[in-house]
Amino acid sequence: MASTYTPIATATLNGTTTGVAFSSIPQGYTDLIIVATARSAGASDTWNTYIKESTYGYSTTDYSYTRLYGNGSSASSNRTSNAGNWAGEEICPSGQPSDARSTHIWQINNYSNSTTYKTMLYRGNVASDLVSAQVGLWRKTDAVTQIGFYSGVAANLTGTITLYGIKAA
Amino acid sequence: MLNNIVALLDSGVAASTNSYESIATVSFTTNTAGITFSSIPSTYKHLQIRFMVKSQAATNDFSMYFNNVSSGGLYAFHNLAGNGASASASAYTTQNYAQLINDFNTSFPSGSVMSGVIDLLDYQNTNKYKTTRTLLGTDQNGAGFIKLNSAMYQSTSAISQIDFYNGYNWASGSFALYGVKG
Repeated sequence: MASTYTPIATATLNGTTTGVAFSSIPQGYTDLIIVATARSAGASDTWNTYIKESTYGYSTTDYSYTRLYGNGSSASSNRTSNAGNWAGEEICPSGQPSDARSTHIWQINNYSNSTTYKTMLYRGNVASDLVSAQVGLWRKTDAVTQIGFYSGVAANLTGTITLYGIKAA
Repeated sequence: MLNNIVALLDSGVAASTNSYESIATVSFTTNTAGITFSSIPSTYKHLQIRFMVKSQAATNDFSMYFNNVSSGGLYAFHNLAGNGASASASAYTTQNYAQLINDFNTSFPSGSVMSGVIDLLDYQNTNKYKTTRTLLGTDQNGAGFIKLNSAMYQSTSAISQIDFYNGYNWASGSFALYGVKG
């Protein structure tokens, strides 16, 4: 059997940047997985995720997402349609102990397909505040060649983000 | 905005462990009611199934079962789901298969695509029942759901076959089976 789950690139968020974009993503895999551990300099911050922003910019309405989350006392769900990015998922805020981080996993199956809209699955863990899951839709049929992850409030971020590729037999 | 973003790519990337392998993939572009992974190798510690399916009719039925056992009430499962307005939870026991979607009050609309990841841990262990965890969902820009599911198969037999079943046929889809070494 051929091994897979191949690391493609890792970005370090060194506390002086508000995000990262992975560009020129190879098209030879079946699925993409992005794993992040992060902390924001903002008191309240969430991820903004864009696909191919170098082509489409930041003012499209091609994104939508459905969320499920629990905050320790109740479970809730919400939805955003015709959005400009995938958003809403919290990053460990500045008020937490300095060593605290949140963890995040995005999965985009069949990312290089050029005939279907792209569906994204997400799981997030912010131990101080909530645990969450999200499904997102990008209403473009383009192959995913670039994806960016940014602070929703332009706060500096600390952590790492690694992009993996998985290739099916 | 992009001009204000500094992307600091490391010179290296995370180390590859060579412990995650592709075992088999089943893809289809015509109406299909189910697929089977059989003769699953026993050489891994855990299994993962990654799938995408496109519906051809409004459906709320999608299940899996193991070792070709779909009787005897050996399955139980819990759900936590969100439909964009509220969260709900449910549990079932003594079932003949592990349902991935069925009970949720949002259906799987015709033409929509659902994506999911299923983990089956310790599938070769013959001393305990088998447990799965699943994350799946679909979004259609105004509808959809996200769901967490845990299922138990009350058998100590090693898993050598996994079946996925949809009572209304998928229009197209792909299921990929991976093995994780331990």
